[in-house]
Order: sequence, then structure tokens, then C-alpha cells
Amino acid sequence: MTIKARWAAAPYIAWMVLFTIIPLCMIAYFGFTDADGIFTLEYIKKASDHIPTLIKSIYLAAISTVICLVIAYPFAYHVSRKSYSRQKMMIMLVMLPMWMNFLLRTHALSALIEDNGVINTLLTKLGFEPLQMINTQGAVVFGMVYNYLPYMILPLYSIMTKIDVRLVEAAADLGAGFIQTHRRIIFPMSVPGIVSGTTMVFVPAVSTFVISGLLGGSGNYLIGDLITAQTLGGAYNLNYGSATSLLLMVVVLITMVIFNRLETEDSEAMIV
Amino acid sequence: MSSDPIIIELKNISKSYDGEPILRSVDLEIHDKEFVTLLGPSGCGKTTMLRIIGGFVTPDEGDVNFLGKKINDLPPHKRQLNTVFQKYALFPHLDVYENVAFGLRLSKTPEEEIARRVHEMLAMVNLEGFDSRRVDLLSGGQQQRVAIARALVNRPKVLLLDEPLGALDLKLRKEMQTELKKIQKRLGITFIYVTHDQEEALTMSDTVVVMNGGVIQQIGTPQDIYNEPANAFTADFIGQSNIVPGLMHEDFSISFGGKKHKCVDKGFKKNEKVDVVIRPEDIRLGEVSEDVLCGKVVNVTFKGVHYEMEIALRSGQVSPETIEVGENGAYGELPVPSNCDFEFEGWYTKPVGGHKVEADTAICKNAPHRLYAHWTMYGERSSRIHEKAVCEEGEEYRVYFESNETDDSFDDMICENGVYGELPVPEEREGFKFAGWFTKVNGGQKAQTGAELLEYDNHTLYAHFTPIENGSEKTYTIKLKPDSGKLWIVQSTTFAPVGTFVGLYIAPDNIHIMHKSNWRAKEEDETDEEGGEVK
Amino acid sequence: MKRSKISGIYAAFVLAFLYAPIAILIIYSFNSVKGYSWQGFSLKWYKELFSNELIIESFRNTLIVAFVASVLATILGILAALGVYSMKNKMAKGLIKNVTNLPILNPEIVTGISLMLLFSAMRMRGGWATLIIAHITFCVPSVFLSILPKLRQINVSLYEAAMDLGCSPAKAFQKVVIPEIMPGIVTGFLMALTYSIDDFVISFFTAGDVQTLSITIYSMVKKRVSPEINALSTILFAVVLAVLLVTNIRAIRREKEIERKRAARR
Repeated sequence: MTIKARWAAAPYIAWMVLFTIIPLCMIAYFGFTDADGIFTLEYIKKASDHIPTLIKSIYLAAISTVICLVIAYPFAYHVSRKSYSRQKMMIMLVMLPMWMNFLLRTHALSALIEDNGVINTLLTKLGFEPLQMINTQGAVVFGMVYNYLPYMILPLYSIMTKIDVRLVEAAADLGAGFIQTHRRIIFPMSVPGIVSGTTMVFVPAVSTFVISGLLGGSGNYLIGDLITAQTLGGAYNLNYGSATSLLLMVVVLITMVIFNRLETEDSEAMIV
Repeated sequence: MSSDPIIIELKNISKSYDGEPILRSVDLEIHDKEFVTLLGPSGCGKTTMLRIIGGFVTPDEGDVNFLGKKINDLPPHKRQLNTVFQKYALFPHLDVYENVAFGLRLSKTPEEEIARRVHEMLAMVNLEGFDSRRVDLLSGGQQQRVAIARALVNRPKVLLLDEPLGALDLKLRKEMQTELKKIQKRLGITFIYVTHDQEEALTMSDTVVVMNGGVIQQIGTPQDIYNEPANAFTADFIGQSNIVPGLMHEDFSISFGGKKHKCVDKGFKKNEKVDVVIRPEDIRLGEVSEDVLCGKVVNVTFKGVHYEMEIALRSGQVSPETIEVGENGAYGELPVPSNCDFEFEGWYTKPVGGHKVEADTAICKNAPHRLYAHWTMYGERSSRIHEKAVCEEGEEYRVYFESNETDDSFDDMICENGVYGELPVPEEREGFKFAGWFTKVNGGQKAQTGAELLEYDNHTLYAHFTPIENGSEKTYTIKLKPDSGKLWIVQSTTFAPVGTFVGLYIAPDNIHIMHKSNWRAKEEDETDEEGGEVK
Repeated sequence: MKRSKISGIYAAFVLAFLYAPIAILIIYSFNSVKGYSWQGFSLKWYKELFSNELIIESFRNTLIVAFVASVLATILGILAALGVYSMKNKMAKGLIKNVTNLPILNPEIVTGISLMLLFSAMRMRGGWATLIIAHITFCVPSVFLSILPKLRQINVSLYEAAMDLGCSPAKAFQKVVIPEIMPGIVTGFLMALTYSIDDFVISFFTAGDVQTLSITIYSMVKKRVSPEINALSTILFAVVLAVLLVTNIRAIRREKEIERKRAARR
């Protein structure tokens, strides 16, 4: 088709340059300068002091990602082997909580686990000691898993549902039992789904400040909280915040590169 | 059939999905080292049967025995069979080598042996050096070879193949057919092969199992199945066939297509309604003559070695319900005129020249036909068409008549002038009106100058009389069954252009006669209903 | 048989895990007292919610921002898709795609901060303008990506046939191209709308003094026990459920019918 409309992309390109590329460059610029716009490595150095926080963020996000994967894989497989209308319904059920405001979902969790929350109220009624659940690392992981689980299920499901039943039968025909079929066929073929699910869980998890802020308490400060505090909080310092953001961006970039390598060349575009 | 021991035995297998029966108590024995083909149209249950043997489907009823042991409940991965799947089902994330090695790795075969056997297999299927290729980048034929190697590397006792060549183009398919056959011979194992392609089944198999509607129709060697089909379904499905209803008068005598034929079959009931199967290649085209089936060529396709022609028989049967000229074959129920110098030849219809009306007569479809009495002069007084020539003005055949009579009373007159008066006008007979001289073959054209005749020679002339009742012409109306409409398919090396009339010559031993099968009966019901509408 | 039963139970557990917290919120939104010991049914928190002016106002703000941003993002996205579709240069196309992916792959917090830096450098105070610009920025790629494939699916001959039958290019575009990409436009617009309504992180950095619902919720949630929030969650959940049911049930029913017919035919 010969629609002559090349110019039509111009506003979009301009917009994306102005509001995506330039702002990203500005993070780098701010990170390497001081308040007067003079080049300095001071804030980068300062930000590097927070590497332990960064590692903790990576650690919690990684744990959450793994848990999500462990929960989502059998679930997605189960759904993918159902009849078409059944699959649709199950996937709708998975997506429904995602449509609820993220903050409200997190709030729901805190209602469950806070000191005077549902679980503890129940425990005391039954005569047990209340448990310290909120403001722990476990609570943060719980929050991440709860919020991001659908992001793992959906790409896994959409790739598993494309696996031809005949391949599973062929594996059985060649002598593979249930476990071997999964180990040698279904899991390796799901790798693209696992990769995109993992990035979709890990990236928001590692950069979150809401989950840690609401469930982790003051003891579980993550890199996201740090950046928020530096840019919006009392320690208002955009250069400092930018430097820390750069740190986070490096982490995200590395994850992307690693996972893109893992993914086979022919991986299919994931439906988000 | 093979004298080798039975390796797989299906006993009374039934299977249905959602109440729809797919297999109805099927029994089948498969011998060791045999190349068995399950052949049938889609939905006949052949794939389900293969999947039951492979263990992917559990039968509702019946047993699957493998070397005498019941394996109903054995899951697929514990069966000593391997499958080549439809569209191959190669693992896309593994390369060629790993695909083939898959089964061996599962059985914990040592690495050197895996390498040796995989390479051996790849060599066998002519894929040396393809080890690290990605399977999804191979051509269809190569993928097919990988699938075969992957199944055979496990040294199964039986290889199941589910329409393995369906996705390949014709030339490649032929190549793979011979190759598969070679592999089977070399390895000496049993192949169970599912296909809907009858040619494939005939070329490759030791035994063909023809299936339809969840039932085995016939089991036999390709030759048996082709030459001696057990029923009309098999005859129709295996190769092309002309299948027409017929009436078996007595041993070695059958009528179909409105003509009586000699045949080599016997043992049918007297006047039993039967199916007659004639292979297109068993029909020889020749001159039109009164003794053979005649028809008009309506379509010719060049097929390389031969022409495939569709021929419309001048058919359509006199319905026994509308005139009494019925089953008993006697035309006596029509009034036989008496008292004349002429020999009563029979009742003929007039349009298109008139067919002789008797039991099972086939007449053309333009109803209603009027009946005319035919008379031949006694003795040798018949006239012959002596000569034919192409008219200069057009493409009509102009007919010149000449008498071969010893008395030359109408020797030379029947020519250009167009008077038929030169032919003797028979004496008036009471109750009848002389209608003219007609030729008999193919119903008889009126013989007059300039008549357009079909291009046959040696026409005998007959006098036509129409019966007169109360001074006016009496007409008998024959209602005709709608032309059963089936075009005959003829494969012939001789060519006849569209629109010409040809005679179909069939040797008696090429007329295959079989009892009416259920399959056929069903179709007949349908036509009967249509016939009813016409009435 | 057995295995499928186990996996069925497992799937039920996973779904229960996803829904349990929401269910608890819903139940306690009807509790007559603060906190999580049940003291009897009451609609008190709903009344308080509706008399909370801040919430009402921020809800209104959210809708305004979402609507304005989505409409603008959709227009921008349609133009972009058409432009990219008619481009011949593969490199340029690839480049545009990569840039489109940036806001999708970037952590939200980074997008938020980068925009904040830009606005502060441009001396723009946080407010309606910055908020809407930010929302357009993260909405437009999804609009673009939902329209572009629809354009690719159009049978080229359709457009040419329309012109052959006497349409001017503009008319052909209106008669052929627009109807074909309409589903993509609608999906894109709806996606933009939901992203915008749902967004918290980027708004948090760019909203300035405009209160959106997410920001209000955040400040309330931080205070922990606030039963109006439970009531608000219940209402939002009910709305989302209703929307999903209405849009999906008909489709599912139709598919089920087709499936049944297919099964019957076999």
C-alpha cells in the first residue's frame, strides 16, 4: 500500500525524543554534575555508598522472581492444557486483580499481615502469640510475589499454550515420562516466556518503593525508596538522586542483556 | 499374508468421542515384518486406531495385544513402538542430532553409543552432516527424514507412521515412498502406516486395511484390494471406478446401462440387484454399435499417459412403476400389434430417435416419450446406408440411401431430391399409421434426404408405425427416472473429441459384480426420493 | 487422571492466593469499627468515603487526566503508526521501535525521575501540564504498538481496489484503512485509559500539586488503618469486575458455543 504519510510520524518522533530520550540523557547529565552544572564524580561516589542497599534490592527482587516462577510455571501449564474457553476464563481470573489499583492490592496485603491485621487478630482470638510479619523482608517478598505473579503467569501461559500437543506425545512416544517431558520439552520450550516473565517481574520489583515502603517498614529500605527520598524527600538533591538512578539503570540494563542472551533468537513477542 | 508371528492384535476395539462412534468393534492382526497400511477417508477411524496402538488413546472396549501380551494400560513411553507424527512434531528447541538422540538419552545410553547410532540413522536417511542444523530451518523432506530417524534410532519393534508424507509435494512424496519401503525392508520391522492416499497404500504395503465409518471394509494385499474389491466402497475408494447398479439375470449374464452383457461372475440370485464396478482403464473406446454401451464424450483431460474422459451414457431407466415394462423383462405388457407383413420389432420411443423399450432399458431423459411400434420388413429387404459424405455447405452429415436388395426397385433414388417416397411405403395397417422409415441403431433416425445421422454406417431401415386409436394417434407415456447422472470415467490412450459418440467396450472379466452394500443402499434411498419428486 | 486432579487443586490455590487479600478487604469494608476484629455489619465507611471531598476531587482529576492524555496519545499514536508504516527505511523503523520500547522496559521510577528532571530544567512547575505530558509519554507507545500490526494486516489490494473503484486516496483511506485499524485504535485508547488511571509512580514524580486518585490513595495507605480505603477498594473491584464481565462473557459464551459445535460435528 502506498500511503504517503511519512511525515505523520514526525510529532511522535519529536515527542519521544523530547520526553523519553532527552530526559534519560538528563539523568546521566545530572548524575555527573553538581548543582551548578559542573562536572563532578562526587554524587556517583556518594551513590556507590548505597551499593549494599542496591544488593539487597536485587536480592529480594531475585527471590521474588524465583518464587513467582515456581508458582506460575505449574499454574500456567495447567491452564494451557485446558479447553479454550476454560483457558480464557482462568486467564481472565488472573488478570482481574491486575486491574485493581496496585496500591490497593498492596494495602490489602498489609491489612492481612500488619500487627493488628486479620491474621494477628485471628491468632490472638485463638489464643496464640501475634506474629511480627509486616516490616520484615518476608513481607516485602510477599508483596512482590503477590503483585507481580500475574506478570509471570501471562507470558508463560501464552507460550505454553502454543506448544503443540504432538510434541508432548512425541516425547512420550520416545520414552519420556511426565517429568522427563517437562525437563526436556516443555521447560526448554518455555524459556522465552520465562525470560520475558522474569524481566517483567524483576524490573519493577527491583525498583519498587511502594511495596517496601508499605510492607517493609524503615528497616527494609530499597534502592527505590532511596531515590524517592533523594528526589522528593527531605534530602532533596536531584544530582544525588540521578546518580543513584544511574546505578539502578545499570542493574536493569545488565539484567536485560543477560536475559536477551538466554532467550533464543526466535523468541516470540510476548503479549503483555 | 505373512507367515511371521502376530505382533499386534486388536480385539474388538471400540471407541467413541462424545457419543459419536469412531471405531466399532474392530479386529485386526498385524504380523511381524509386515508393512501394513490403514487406508480410508478422513474420519474413518484410521488415525484413532493408530493412536490406540501407540497408547495415546485408550479404547472404550477391547484389547490391544503386543506379542500376545495385553498392553491396554501401558503408557506410550513404556511401549516398544515409535511414531512418526503428522507434520513430524520435531522438537524446535533441539538441533537435528539432539532430536534424533532424544529417545536414547532417556534410556541412559552411553554417549559413544548415542553418537554411533544417531550417525548411523542420519546416514540411513541421507542426512549426514546435518547434526547441528536447526530443525525448523530444514525443508519438509528433511524434517521428515529427521522424524523417521528419531523414531527408528530406538530400534522399535513396530514403527507407526501417521500420514507422514501428507505435507510433501508430489515428487518428494514418491521419493520418500520408495525410500520408506527400502528402510522397512532393510530393518525388517513392522510398519503401520496411516494414509488416505490410495496410491501410496498400493505402492508401499504388504497388506492394506481399508476402513470406513469405523469399520474395516477389507484386508488384503494391494493386488487383492484393487482387483477384487469386496464391496462398492472399496472399489470406489481404491482407484477410480465406475459403479453402476445392475441386474444379474443369471450366471454369466448381467444387464446394466440398458444393455445385456456377458460376465464371468456367477452364484448370484436370479435377477438380483447388484453393483457393477468397472475400472476406467478397463474400458476400451470403439465404434458405436448396437451391442455395446454408447455415450457422448463430455470432457477430456490429458493425463500424460492417457486421456481421462467423462462420458455421458444415454441412460436413464424406464421406471418400472410407470409402465409395465418392468422387472420381468417382458415388453409383452405393451400391446403387441398383430397381423402384418412386417415383423414386429418392438416398441420404440421417438425423440432422439427412439430407444427400444424393454426391462432395464436406458433411455434419454427427455420425458415424456411417445411409443412407436417398429416394424421390419420380412426377409432381407432391409436397406443400408451405403455411403456418407460431408455436405459442402455445413458440417452436417448427409445421408444417402441405397438398397442392397436384389430387386432394384429403389436402388438409386434416395438422394438429393429428399423424397422418401422412393423407399417403399408399407401397406396401411389397421390401427396404425406409417410414420416413416427409421434406422434402428441408437434408436433410429428418420431416414429422409438430408437427415442428420450419427456417423455410423450399416444402418438397417425399419418401418415405423404409430398406433392409432379412434382415428387419432395413441401415445403411451413413459415416465423416466431422472438420469442417474453419473458420468462414466474412461482412461483411454485413444482420443475422442468432446461431443462425439463412442462405444464402450468392456471385456467380460473386467466386469466386477458385487452384492449391494449398505453404503450403496443408502445412496439408492436418496435417489429414490428424488425419483418420487419427479413423479 | 490423578495428576490432573492435583494440578486442578493447585490452580485453585493459586487463584485463592490472588483473591484472598481482596476478599478480606471487601469483607472488612463492611465492618462497623476500625481494625480487623469483626464487630458487625455497617455501611459507615462507604458514607465516609463519599463525604471525603479529597477523594472525590482526586477521582475527578484522575478521570480528566486519563481522558485528555488518552485522547492525545491516541491521536499521536495513529499518526505515528501511519508514518512508520509508510516508511521505507528499515533502519529508521528499527530505531523508532527501540525508542518506543524504552518507556515500556524502563523502570517506572526512572521514567518518573527523568521527566521530573526535564521539567525542572525547563522551569515547568509540577501541575496539570507536566502530569498530562508524562501520561501521554507512557501511554503513547502502547497505542502505537496496538495500531501498527493492524495496519500490517490490511490486505494491500483492498486499498488499491477502493482507488480502482473510484475513491480518491483520501476517500480510500477513510473507507478502507480507518475501518480496518479501528479495533487497534479502540484497544490502544482503552489501554492508555487504564494505564493512566492506574499509574502511581510516574504521577508521583510529576503531578506537583495535582492530586490524582493514586496519589491520594498512597497518602491514605501510608497511614495504614483507614477503612474508607477498604470501601474504595471494594467499589473499584466491583467496577473492574463488572467491566470485565460485560466485555468478556459474551465473547466467552460465543466461543463456547463454537467449541461445542465443533465437538458435535466430530
